Amino acid sequence: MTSDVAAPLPAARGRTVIDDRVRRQLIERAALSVPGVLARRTMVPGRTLPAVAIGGDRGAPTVEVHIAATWPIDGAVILDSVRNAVADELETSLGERPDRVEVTISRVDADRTPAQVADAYAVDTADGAIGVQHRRFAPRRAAAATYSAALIALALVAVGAVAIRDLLTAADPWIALALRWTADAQWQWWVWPVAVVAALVGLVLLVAAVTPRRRTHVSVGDHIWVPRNNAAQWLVADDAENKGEVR
Amino acid sequence: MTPILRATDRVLTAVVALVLLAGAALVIGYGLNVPFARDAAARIDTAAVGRAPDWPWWSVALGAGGAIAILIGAWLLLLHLRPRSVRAVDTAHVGAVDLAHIADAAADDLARHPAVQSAKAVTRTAGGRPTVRITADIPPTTSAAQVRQLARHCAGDIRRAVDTDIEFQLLARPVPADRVRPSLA
Repeated sequence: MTSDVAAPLPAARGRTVIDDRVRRQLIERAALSVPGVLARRTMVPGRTLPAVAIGGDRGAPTVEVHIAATWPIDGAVILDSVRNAVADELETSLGERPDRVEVTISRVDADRTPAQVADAYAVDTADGAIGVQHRRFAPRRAAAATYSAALIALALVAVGAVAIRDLLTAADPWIALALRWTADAQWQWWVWPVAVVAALVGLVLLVAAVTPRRRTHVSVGDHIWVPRNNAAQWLVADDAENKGEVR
Repeated sequence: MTPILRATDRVLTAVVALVLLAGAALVIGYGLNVPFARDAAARIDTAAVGRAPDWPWWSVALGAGGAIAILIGAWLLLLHLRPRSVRAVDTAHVGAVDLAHIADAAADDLARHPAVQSAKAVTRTAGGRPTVRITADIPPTTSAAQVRQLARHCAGDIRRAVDTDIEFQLLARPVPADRVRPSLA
């Protein structure tokens, strides 16, 4: 997109056309001026940050900025700061007030040293103990029905592939052969075990279809979830520490 | 994985299970001379089944059936293989954050704490809410109180970064004493 600068120049002196590349560079510079915003240069197209997309009308563009930031970040502050910096830069340099500036934090890099992390975590910023979370938020194992459904999907693909194969190679059809064999089939001794196995598989699948997903962890408060088999051990240790503190 | 996909899995599994059970019951009933099974078997025109490939519409049915089976099967498989992580989340103010990258950064940071052996993050939807779930390997030298403090601090960092209401969970995984990294022992 290009646009005319709204400055009141005489017509005889021509007009100034500003390319979007200029806007992009100004927006990148404005975003990078905000503390905590990082420049990321990569060889992969579209992965370089800040990344800028410009749209909208002349004189009032809409700007989309993707940025990388360094951990820890204050989302509200950094988003507001980048938005304001971009809007101010466009207004100051080009006399344009963007219609909308949308900022997305697309990447966050953590590069603190262990000592810095330990110092930061030594300050307890939370308001106090947080209670046990409801078990509907508990991490759960995948349902058995998920695995069986994936196997059924694979079987469907296999059957479909055989059908397409039969369609393309009419000389040696498998499905037609199977149907003719079925039509001529007589009762054999092995039908008993096959039927029993089919019934057992059906029963297992039926149980899998209705069995709820098992919770793998239990909440012990303060956002912490411990494995079910370690819960008792954790609570005993926690209790012992609390008693120690009281004494 | 969405609740709809989980329900689809259960329905599909139940349908296949019922078909298998019904088929097996029919065959066993036939073998035991149960009248109902015998009548049902007598109603099946086995010769027609054998003649099906000779019918003029057989090729069309084979092609259409095969294509539909492949499409449905591949679609179901793709739904299961699709990443379950939550990516972009709108903040309380104007703007958005990539929740998965926030979670990764928080886990990287936490893993550098001397009281934590390693940490890994995933983002999920739990109870209908975007959730950051960090699994941290905790050596036996780290006390429960310390883990609580780490969790509260990490939750605060993530909520401040995301600037919206999300769930945070620290899955504390105790590391056996013989697997503790030497520097942490």
